[in-house]
Amino acid sequence: MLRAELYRIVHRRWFYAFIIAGICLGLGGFVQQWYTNIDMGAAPHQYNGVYVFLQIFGADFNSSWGGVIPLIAVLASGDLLWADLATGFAMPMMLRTGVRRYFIDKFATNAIAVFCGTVLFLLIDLGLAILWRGGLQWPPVLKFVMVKGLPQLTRGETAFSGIVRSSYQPLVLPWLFWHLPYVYTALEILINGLVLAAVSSVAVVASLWLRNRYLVLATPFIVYFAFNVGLQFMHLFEWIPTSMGGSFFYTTASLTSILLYWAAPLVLLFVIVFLTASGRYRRLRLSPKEMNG
Amino acid sequence: MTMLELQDVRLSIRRKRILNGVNLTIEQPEVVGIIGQNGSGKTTLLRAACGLARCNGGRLTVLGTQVSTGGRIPQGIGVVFDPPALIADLTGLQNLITISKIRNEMSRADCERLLIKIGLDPGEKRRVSKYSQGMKKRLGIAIAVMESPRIVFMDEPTNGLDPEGIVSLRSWIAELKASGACVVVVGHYLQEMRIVCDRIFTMADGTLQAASENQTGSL
Repeated sequence: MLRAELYRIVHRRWFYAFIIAGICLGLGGFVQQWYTNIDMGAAPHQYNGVYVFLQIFGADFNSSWGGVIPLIAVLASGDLLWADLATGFAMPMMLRTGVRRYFIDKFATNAIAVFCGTVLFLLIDLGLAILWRGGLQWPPVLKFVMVKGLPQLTRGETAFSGIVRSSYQPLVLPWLFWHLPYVYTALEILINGLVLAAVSSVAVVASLWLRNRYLVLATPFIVYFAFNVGLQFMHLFEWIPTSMGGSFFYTTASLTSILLYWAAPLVLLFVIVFLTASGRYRRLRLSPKEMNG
Repeated sequence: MTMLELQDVRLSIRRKRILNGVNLTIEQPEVVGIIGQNGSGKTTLLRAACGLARCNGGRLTVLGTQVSTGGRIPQGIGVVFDPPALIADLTGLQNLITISKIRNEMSRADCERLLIKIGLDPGEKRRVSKYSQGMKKRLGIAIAVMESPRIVFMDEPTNGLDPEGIVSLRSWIAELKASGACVVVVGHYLQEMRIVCDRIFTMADGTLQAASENQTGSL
């Protein structure tokens, strides 16, 4: 069913709205960062597009990107399960796959589509940023902004050993950012894909309990802000690795902790679907009219 | 092998008893009609037979798969839902292609041929949400029969079909029976059932009874 669902998603206008929203966000971010960097004392010739890209998409929750994550994460396919249950299209699909398999595939397809879509629009944004200003120039002012300073270059460090060390040592991520920006940017893009996949999966699970499209689409927003922004207001910054942008400023998280933080809800939501979806569907006890939408 | 066997099947929805000891056995390819009033449980019976609703009691076996106890979905069945279960924001051909990708038994060309056979244009660019009721019903029938199922359940298949479509439906049902499939048709009109069905049952008070020879009209 994965192929069927992916075919359906890529023939859906909302999937393209999701991609275009991501690209527009990048373009808007370039303009915003242009002025921000001038305010920070960095002249335009002192930094490059990759740095601006990381300023937009590698930032923490106190940013435009952080604010719109739950909104665009549900655009691609967040309401598809709800729509299938409401219109009855779930039934011909279930007849061919089985009930549990249907829900699992639905969950997996949403996560795959959102992950791939995010990686796609971030790569387009990165490409635009590099076209706008190539090279690998970091603004000198950045050294003073970084709270704990840059770690020293380790003799013989390579991209591979850097990634391995960053998986358990927080301080290596700033090192990667400074010395191997493309490797760092690639990791950043992958983690953003994971973040959006995790957030959008909340809508899939909410579809099992909520019978209203707008509530389903709002649930990721509520959960995301409760668990991330809410924790910040409680001064629990250390609990929130966010994406990697937080690392190059604060160096509070290792790569593993970031991956675990975002993989954990994805795994938890998958377990909920695996264990409860089939029973939940049969317990709906819908009237014949509701059964057929 | 018995194609469909219901023994004392019981099912309740929100504490209301819908099926109250239904018995039915189909052993060979034939067309069976079930008529009954609105809310008599015909659709629920179809849903239970598909494994989409769990029975509270009794034994329900479809093509050798015991559906009642585990709530399993039997393989080799097709269902015409009423209203048809379709993806509104895709075209008719895209609907068929989406479904065909699950089992990979049909190519795009097969889907196009099936659409032509069922009376729809494969090149139609409109989304299904813009289709007429009859076109949606035809597409729903195409989805049900697309992978040569051995049992086809049809829930009020003539709803929304024009006279020409109803005549075509009769020939499709006859074709299914000739190919060795069993067809269970649910509807309101006894006259229509008499034309296509080998056996007819009436659903009343949650049970099935054989329709009498002198019964006429609609329910």
